Amino acid sequence: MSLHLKIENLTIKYEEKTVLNKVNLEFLPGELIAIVGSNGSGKTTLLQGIIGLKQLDTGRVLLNGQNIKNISRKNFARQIAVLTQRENLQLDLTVEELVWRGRHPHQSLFKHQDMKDHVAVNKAMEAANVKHFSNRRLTKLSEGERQRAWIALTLAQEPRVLILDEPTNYLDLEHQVKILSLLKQLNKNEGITIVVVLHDLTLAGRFAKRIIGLNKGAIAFDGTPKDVLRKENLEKVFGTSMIILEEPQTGEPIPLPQMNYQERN
Amino acid sequence: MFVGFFRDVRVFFALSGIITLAGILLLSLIFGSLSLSLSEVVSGLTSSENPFARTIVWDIRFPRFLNAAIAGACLAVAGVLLQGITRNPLADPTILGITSAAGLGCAITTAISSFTPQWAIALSSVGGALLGAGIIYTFSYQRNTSPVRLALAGVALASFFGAIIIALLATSQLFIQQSLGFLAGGFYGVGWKEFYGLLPYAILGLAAAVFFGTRLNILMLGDEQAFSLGVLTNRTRGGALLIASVLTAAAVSTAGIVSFVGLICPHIAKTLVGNDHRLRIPIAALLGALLVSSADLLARIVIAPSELPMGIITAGIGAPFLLYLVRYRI
Repeated sequence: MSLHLKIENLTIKYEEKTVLNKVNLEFLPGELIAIVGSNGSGKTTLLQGIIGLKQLDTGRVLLNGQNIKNISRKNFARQIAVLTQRENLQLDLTVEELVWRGRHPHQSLFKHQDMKDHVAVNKAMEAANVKHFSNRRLTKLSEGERQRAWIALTLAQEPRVLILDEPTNYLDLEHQVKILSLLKQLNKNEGITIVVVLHDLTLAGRFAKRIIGLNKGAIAFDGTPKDVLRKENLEKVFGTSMIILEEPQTGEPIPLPQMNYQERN
Repeated sequence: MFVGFFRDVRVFFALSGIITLAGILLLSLIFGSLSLSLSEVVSGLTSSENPFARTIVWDIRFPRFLNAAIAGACLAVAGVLLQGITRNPLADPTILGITSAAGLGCAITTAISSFTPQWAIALSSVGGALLGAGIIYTFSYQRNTSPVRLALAGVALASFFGAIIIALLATSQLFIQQSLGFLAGGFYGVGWKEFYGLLPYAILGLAAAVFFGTRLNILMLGDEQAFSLGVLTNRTRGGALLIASVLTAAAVSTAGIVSFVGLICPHIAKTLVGNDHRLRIPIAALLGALLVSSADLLARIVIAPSELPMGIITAGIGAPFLLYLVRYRI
């Protein structure tokens, strides 16, 4: 079943400050999307609005045409999985115990674990490449391994849409690339719609098929990397002067910030 | 081998816990200010032929054991719930001030008249606990409540309510031993009356707590993650806090202000069965029953024919345990 996510006229305020201002967006089934923007541009708030974590001041979020307000939380969680940014949790759990918790939306008081859950957990651990250390404790893993374990948790939900808030934070380059490749693979093989908030423009350009730029709570640009990673777009959003290079083989744009360092006498 | 006979190590823990509890029950019926023989205990439990044994076993020691075991189970489960919803290994009914708040409820009704019926004392205990929990909730409702802030708020609450309790007891007509027993926690003179007062709240609270195991398992992943997994975090937190308060109040209405049980038992349960709250809740309940009933047994026999307030024993075990937690686990 494919899933169509539509955001209409979304406004969210913190106290009196408008963080998101009348945002309209549509996520089509199977899309691979990166959301970029500087700190405070409303990226995280947008995700929180979409998943119902923040009170909307105006607008609505529609899941296949149905307002998410009228969908039970568990039903929502069976269709849309989210990996939030985490505070420093010292979780005393094994990888497998963590991934099992992703089955919560599929369980209820009267329906406990069954074969389907086992299959889903195993599949999720294989897809996220954590199966070989499923018995290890989260506290004993490297940042990259731990992040993959959390991604396995979201996959165990068997979602149609996967939303991740800065999943590459605190990872070294190798693991950033590994995580994003994993997401790309999931998008391709399983057809899961993937929406990722990213800080690194170069990675966003290589990873996503569609990039949405947020600036001061509004959408500044939205399109394919080739169309939107332009000098004027990025300078407006990030407030720093840029040069756009071309990848020699594919012609993909590579945005590069310029250093405004001036020598003093 | 032996353990392998059981399907699971956890079944082994549960069974050995229950057997030990039965052993403590037997010892509690035999020993006290004067010791009975086994046959006197049996005849006291089953018939009225021996009025002397009947009185000691059936009217005094047996209900006292039941009070201790159930109060212990209530406090331990309250501790699991509070540690779960605050994600704070230091949370327990005493540290969060709920015990003192419940104690204040009891002290007020006791001070009004020494003939206050037990149901009224239990009810006002629940009222006090809910008031305390309400105050704590308004503190923890804000995002990113730090463990330190929660603990400090609890300490403030506990000393404030504690002061009022002492003032009430000092001006009431209670005997000094009763007052001391209440403040230190214990089962001096506690019987069937107190048992029936606590029973409905204990049954209600323990039964409801079982349904929170799964949600606490998810809540430990962090609020936002739990919410996106389909758990209504605020409702879960409020519900668990409510149940923890009722459980604490039930225990306080019979045992007075017992510290540390709600802190220790959840940790031992975690060491035994891991971080799955569905198992941690029943195992902690068993441990709480074991700890408090054996502490009460000790309190009755160490200086027999006189007795210590039971809370002295739990504090004697609990305080070093807290130091151990602070040093190695937190």
